[in-house]
Amino acid sequence: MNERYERQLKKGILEILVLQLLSKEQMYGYQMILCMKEKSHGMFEMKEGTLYPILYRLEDDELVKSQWTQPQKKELSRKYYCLTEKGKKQLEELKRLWKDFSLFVNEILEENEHE
Amino acid sequence: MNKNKYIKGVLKLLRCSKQQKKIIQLDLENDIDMALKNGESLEEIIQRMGTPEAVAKEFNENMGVSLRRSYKKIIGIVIGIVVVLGLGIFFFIRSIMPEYQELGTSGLFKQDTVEQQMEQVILDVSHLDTQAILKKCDEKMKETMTESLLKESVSSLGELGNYQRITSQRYVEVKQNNDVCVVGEVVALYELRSVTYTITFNQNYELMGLYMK
Repeated sequence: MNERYERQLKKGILEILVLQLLSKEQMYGYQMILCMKEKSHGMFEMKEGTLYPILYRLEDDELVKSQWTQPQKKELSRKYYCLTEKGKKQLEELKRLWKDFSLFVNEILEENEHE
Repeated sequence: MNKNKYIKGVLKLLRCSKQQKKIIQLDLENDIDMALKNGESLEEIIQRMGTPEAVAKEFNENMGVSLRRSYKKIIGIVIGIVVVLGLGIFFFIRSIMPEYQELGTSGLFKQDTVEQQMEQVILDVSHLDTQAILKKCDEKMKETMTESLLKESVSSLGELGNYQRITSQRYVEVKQNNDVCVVGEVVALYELRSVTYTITFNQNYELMGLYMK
């Protein structure tokens, strides 16, 4: 399948999914990639080059915030991302939007099947 | 291939600002360290993530938008600077330009005193009392005003006859660079003709300007 079309379809939706993941708990980048892969049964196998630009954009828009942990003893200092209040609100709006979108898209797509 | 070489390989191919590259470097290092801790081997990690070229390509494709945003920021900053400069120039020119206001506005000049002083100067000129005039001049005027200059100016008016009185007078305060002076246009009637004097005093009623026609 032409990768560009798949990527186009995934665009936009990935942002909602990232926000959703972070709404449950704060996460590290690596964690998000693993989690996304697991939950989507391999459908969303995000690469670093896709995830991080999304996180940077979300951070620019103040929907997420990044912080470094205070490491204990020999542990590495790790960078994690968390949702801001603004991000929570945006997520709710996007979820509502997605519900309407997918409803109409399905209607339109099923319409053609009957013909 | 070791971790640092791999990451450097990616960074080299990235098309974004230095700051952005630094952030990406930290994020990639972080990810690889965590994957290693998680039990993956470096080969496995590199295979999963892809070649440096592939990783850089992915970043570049997805960061097209953020590039534009930093351009927008730069444009915003440039506009800000231009506006500040423009305002600065505007106010500077305004402060240099003289401001005209009604006599009495500054509170430094009283109508009566001004009229008196003006008439006195006119009388001094009419009687060719050059000493009195020179005494009244301020520093700058003293440099240029001489007896002969004054006498010449008066004689260029022609025969005047005796001084009679003042027929009209207009005054205005001029503010420039925080200095205020008063300018008067006074018409003096003589036996044979009228002369219009333009006289300027500073705050101490020293003569700053004297014209006659």
